[in-house]
Amino acid sequence: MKNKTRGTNVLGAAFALVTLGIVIFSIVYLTGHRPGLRPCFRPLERWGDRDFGSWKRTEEERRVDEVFSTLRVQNISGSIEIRGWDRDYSLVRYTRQGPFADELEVVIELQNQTLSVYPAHTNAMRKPPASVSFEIAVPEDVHSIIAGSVSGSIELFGMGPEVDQELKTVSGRIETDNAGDLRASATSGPIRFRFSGRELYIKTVSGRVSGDILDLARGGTCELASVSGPVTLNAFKELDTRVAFKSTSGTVHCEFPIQTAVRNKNLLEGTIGEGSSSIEITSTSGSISLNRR
Amino acid sequence: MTEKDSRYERAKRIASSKVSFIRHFITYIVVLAVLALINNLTSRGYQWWLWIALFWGIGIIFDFLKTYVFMGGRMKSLEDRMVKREMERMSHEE
Repeated sequence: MKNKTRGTNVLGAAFALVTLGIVIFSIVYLTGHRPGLRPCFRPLERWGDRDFGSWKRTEEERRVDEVFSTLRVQNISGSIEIRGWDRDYSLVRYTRQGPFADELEVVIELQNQTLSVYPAHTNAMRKPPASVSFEIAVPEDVHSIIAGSVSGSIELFGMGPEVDQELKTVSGRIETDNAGDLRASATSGPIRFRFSGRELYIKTVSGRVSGDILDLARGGTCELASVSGPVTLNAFKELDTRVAFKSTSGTVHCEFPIQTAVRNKNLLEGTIGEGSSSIEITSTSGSISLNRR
Repeated sequence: MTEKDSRYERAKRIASSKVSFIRHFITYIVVLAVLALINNLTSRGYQWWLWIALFWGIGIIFDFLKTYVFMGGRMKSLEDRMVKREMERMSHEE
C-alpha cells in the first residue's frame, strides 16, 4: 500500500517536471527572437538542420551604386554596424530574425542625396515581434551618418575623419572609431568614440562614456552629460580650451596644467592654454576625468 | 466526528486531489498535442500553441504544489507534527 502511494507521488513529481520542461521551453522559444538573448540560447538556435522557431532568420544583401551624401539608418530591434570602405558603391546586408521575419520588409530608398534604410512591417495593422540587424558598407567619404535604434548597438568603423555622425540608441552600445562632428546619446549603454571635429554632444543616463579627442578646432565645443555613468576623455597634448566640469556627487579630475577659476572635489572651471574652444561635462553621480594622451 | 472519520475524510480529499491533478496533466498534454497539430498543419511558422503551454503549464505547477506539497504532503505532515508537539506540551503543563 505504501509503495503504491509512493508510486503516485513519483508519478506526480514526474508530471510536474515534464510540465516545468514545457514551460521553460515555451519561454525560450517565445522570447528567443530578441537579439540580446541569442548568445544565452545559442545551442538551441537550430532544430535539426534548419533555423528553429524564433531564431528563424533570413539573410539578404543589396548593392547600391548611386552616390549619396547622407546615410540614415533607423532600426527598432537589432544592431547596426556601419563600415567605411574604399569602394565607390555601398552594400547593405541585413539579417531578419524572428517567427514573423517574413512580415518585415527592409526599405532602402534614395531621396535628396540621402540613402534611408529602415525596417517596415508589411501589414500595418499587425506588428509582430521580429528584429533586423544591419551590416552596411559605405564609401568612407560620405558626408554624414544618422543611425538610431531602440534596442540594439550601433557601431561605426573605418569612417573618414570628416564624417559627421548622429547616433542614438535607448538600450545598446555606441561605438565609433573615427568621427567628425558627433552627436551621440544612449540611455543605458556605454558610448565609446574617437573625435576630431568641431562639435561634440554626448548624452547618457547610466552608460559609461569614454572617448579620445584627437583634434579640436578653434571655437569648437564639446558638451557631455551623464547621470550615473563615469565620463573619461583622453585629449591630445596641445589641447587649448576652457573647461567646466561639474558633478553633483562624483569626483572631477584633469591631467592638464590648468589656470583654475574654481576648483574643488566636484567642480572644476578653468582654462588650458589660451582657451580657444570649450569642453563642458556635467554628471550627477558619475566621475569626470580628462587625461592627457 | 471520530478521529478515524476525520482521517478518512482527509485521506479521501488528498486522494481525490491527486487524481484530479493527474487528470489535469493528461488533459493538458492531450489538448497541447491537438493544438500543436493544428498549428503545424495550418502553418509551419510561428508556434502559437506554446503561449497556451506556458500559461497553462504554470497553472499545472501550482496545482502540483497545492496537491503534493501544501495539502497531502510535507506541509501537512509538518502541521501534524506541530499539533502533536503542542498537545504533548499541553499535557505536560497539566
